[in-house]
Amino acid sequence: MKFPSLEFVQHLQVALNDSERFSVVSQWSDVKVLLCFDDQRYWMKLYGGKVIDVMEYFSMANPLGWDYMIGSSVENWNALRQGARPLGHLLDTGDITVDGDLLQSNRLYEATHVMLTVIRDLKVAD
Amino acid sequence: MAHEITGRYATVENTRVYYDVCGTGIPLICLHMGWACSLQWHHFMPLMADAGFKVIAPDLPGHAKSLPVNWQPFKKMHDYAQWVWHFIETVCPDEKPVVCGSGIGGDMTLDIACNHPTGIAAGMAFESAANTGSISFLSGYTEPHTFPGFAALVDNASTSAMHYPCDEEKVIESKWQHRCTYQATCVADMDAWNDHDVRDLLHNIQCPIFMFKGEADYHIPEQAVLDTIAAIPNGLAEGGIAKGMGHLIMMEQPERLAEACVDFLRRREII
Repeated sequence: MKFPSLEFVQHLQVALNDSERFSVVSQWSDVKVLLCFDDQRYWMKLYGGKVIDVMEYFSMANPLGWDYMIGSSVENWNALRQGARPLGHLLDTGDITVDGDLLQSNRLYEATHVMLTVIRDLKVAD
Repeated sequence: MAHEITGRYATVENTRVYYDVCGTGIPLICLHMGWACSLQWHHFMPLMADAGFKVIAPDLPGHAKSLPVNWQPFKKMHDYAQWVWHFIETVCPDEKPVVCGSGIGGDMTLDIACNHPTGIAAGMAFESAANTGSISFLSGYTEPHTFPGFAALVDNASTSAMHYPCDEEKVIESKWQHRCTYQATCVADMDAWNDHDVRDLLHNIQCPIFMFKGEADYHIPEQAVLDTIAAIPNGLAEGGIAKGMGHLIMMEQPERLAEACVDFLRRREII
């Protein structure tokens, strides 16, 4: 499994759906989240405490669109995953950006934080 | 604990304020970080009381059990520091206290040392510098409707710069210590943090200053701390980077912090 890749995002979906914390903090969610790793983009649908669908995202090709996005360069994502920079620092400096419908993303701040923590900790098997 | 912490109230700038007291001796004023309250010092206070201090930790205006002055949180660091000065005049009149603080409390400590240079015996500023500023994006989020998940932001922001691995109990306690402050005050604290700049006043300082910063605290650059120490005249300042510690220096390693403070105060003949 490569990082980033659709397979990675599918594993992320499994990990989030196994997380009791994620289930609690996203119980009343009904949003479409775009995950961006440089120009590789993935779409996730959160509903009722679960990630119910994921797919690669191509602008104009997905009629559903998205509500908020979480994005950064692959270099920054690798810095997070390798422990070179703390998550809080990447968020505070805007090196990981959350944008779009900020009312939704801010309402789901903790769910987003759990998602980022799982992205940080998810192992990539050779 | 040999020394109990007792809660009291006073009136400062016509506003009711809460503070904790522990021990007897030289007054030591402990100023908490942004978004937090006096609870932040409860591990540290008895240790300093053992060293011969009357340790006093207020809830700053608009935090926990202290009301905001004129019902508005402070947005300027100097206004905060002046309030602390009036608090000192109220609770320990005619005495020359040691003032310590962390984060915005550290900024206030430096502001007081610059603006009341003969009024305090020493200053100890943690996670602070002569010029601070980091989370600058919050100013638009004063009202609750703008950020429905603000409590989760506070939980994460307050603990993300601790030194990990860390005792999970302390992480949870730290979150609770930041849950007593209203959103508008939290945002104003960050405005004050970004507003703070006493670099042009450091030459006024006449008392010993101890600066200490946890290595894992990314809210304040190491260089800003070292530059502040270097800019305080006449060798009055010392300190540096605390290994194995983070943003919540008085919570994570209270014994080590107290030991460093007492060592500084002894060498500088304050005690």
